[in-house]
Amino acid sequence: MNWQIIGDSVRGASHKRNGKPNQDAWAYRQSETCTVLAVADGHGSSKYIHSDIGAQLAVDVSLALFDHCAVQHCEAGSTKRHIKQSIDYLPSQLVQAWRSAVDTADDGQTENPNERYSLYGTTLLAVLLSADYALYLQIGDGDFLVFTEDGQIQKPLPKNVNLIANETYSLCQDKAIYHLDTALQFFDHHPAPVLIFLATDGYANSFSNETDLQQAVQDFQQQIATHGVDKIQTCLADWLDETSEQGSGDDVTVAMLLPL
Amino acid sequence: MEIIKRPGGAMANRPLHFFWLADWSGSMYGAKIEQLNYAIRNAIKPMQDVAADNPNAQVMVRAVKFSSGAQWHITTATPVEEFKWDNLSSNGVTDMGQALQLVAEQLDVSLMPESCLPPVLVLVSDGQPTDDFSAGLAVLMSKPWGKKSVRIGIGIGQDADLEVLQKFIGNPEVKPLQAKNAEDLVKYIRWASTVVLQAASAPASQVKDQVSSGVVPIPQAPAADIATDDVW
Repeated sequence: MNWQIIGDSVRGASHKRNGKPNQDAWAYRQSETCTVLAVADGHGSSKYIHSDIGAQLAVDVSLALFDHCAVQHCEAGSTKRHIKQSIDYLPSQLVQAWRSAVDTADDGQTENPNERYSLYGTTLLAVLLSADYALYLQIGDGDFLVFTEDGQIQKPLPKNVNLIANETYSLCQDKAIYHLDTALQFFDHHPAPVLIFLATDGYANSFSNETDLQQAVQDFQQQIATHGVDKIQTCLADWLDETSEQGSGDDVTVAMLLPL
Repeated sequence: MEIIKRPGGAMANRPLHFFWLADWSGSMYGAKIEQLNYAIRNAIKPMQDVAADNPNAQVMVRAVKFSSGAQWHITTATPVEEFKWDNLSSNGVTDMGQALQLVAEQLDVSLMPESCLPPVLVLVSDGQPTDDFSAGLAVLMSKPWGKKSVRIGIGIGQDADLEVLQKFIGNPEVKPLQAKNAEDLVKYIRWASTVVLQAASAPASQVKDQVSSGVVPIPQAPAADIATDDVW
């Protein structure tokens, strides 16, 4: 199945007031075997001074890793069991790949590895879509919403009840692999997605409650159906700016996948 | 050109609940309670100015007063633009633990959703608790928002129990402030109402379990005024 992608990322209203950069990142990759999409939210406080770079590295390494994973599954003609087993290794592979990318980016400037990774701390949400399955991965805050062909709204990954206020899990943590959640859904056992929505927490924090967030995503779906992907893409940055200004003030990144 | 409506309804800025916990026990009689009333009233305008500078936070103020028992002084969460301070008098003992329990009831996630900003609790007292302070603190800290709250302790005069205020703060890097005179009290109340409020209203993300100093780094407090002779 081919997928269309809409997405954008804007610098938060409070970041503009305080002279901070946009510390979110997003990217996607499409090939014959799969479509992969990721968003990340670099931590804002002063101890994570390179978190904008850390977020970009997180989306880059997750796209590369997911793509590689899908190609391997395809070439090997993997069974479901093999795919499930290989997914078990993904968290450690991802953390390792991100750390390695940080090591390169830091170029020996920070000797202590824990301090080094902290400087680049970030969350990550990523999705891989192949012909047979969807794989969702998340560490830290942010939202995944999936609308399915049977009209349901799913959250493929459980909400982490331990995270309130401005606390989050992070790729920079010592035990990051234990905070990385994954969900693998085979399309022969799950209704196919008609919209997959990813957002950094600056988006959800701009609404009073979860119901308002879900309504906004439903509105996106209807607007896309009415006006088309290209038109909505051109409007998205302005909408996200308005969202940050009137809502959370945080950086806001939204990315969506829809079947072509 | 066709204008397409932004998906989603009204945007919501993030509520920030600010609680005063004020001691109005008998030992506050006279200059102490008068200065506390003055200091809080004096801080209202600067507090409103700080809140206005950050439209992404919606600051709501409540106050608990404690002496023999604890009760709400400002019951309803009041938008800071409408915040007024009615003078406290003084009477009774220092049931601080009950004040903590009263605030804790409002820190439930069912009443304060996850999208809120960390609440700010400013405890002002001139003495030692006369009730079970530890039990009150335990109830407060049993609430997720209690643990994540920004807690400031201000002692008034020489008899304030700084050890208890330190337990309330729960962060060795943040010390209780001891106001030994009227000038210090005004300065500390204004600092809590403005500088601390500002820090709490735009907190950056913090990595869970990596933060020993609370979810919001507390800015440096102003120095005490050592020049004055007018000491409580």
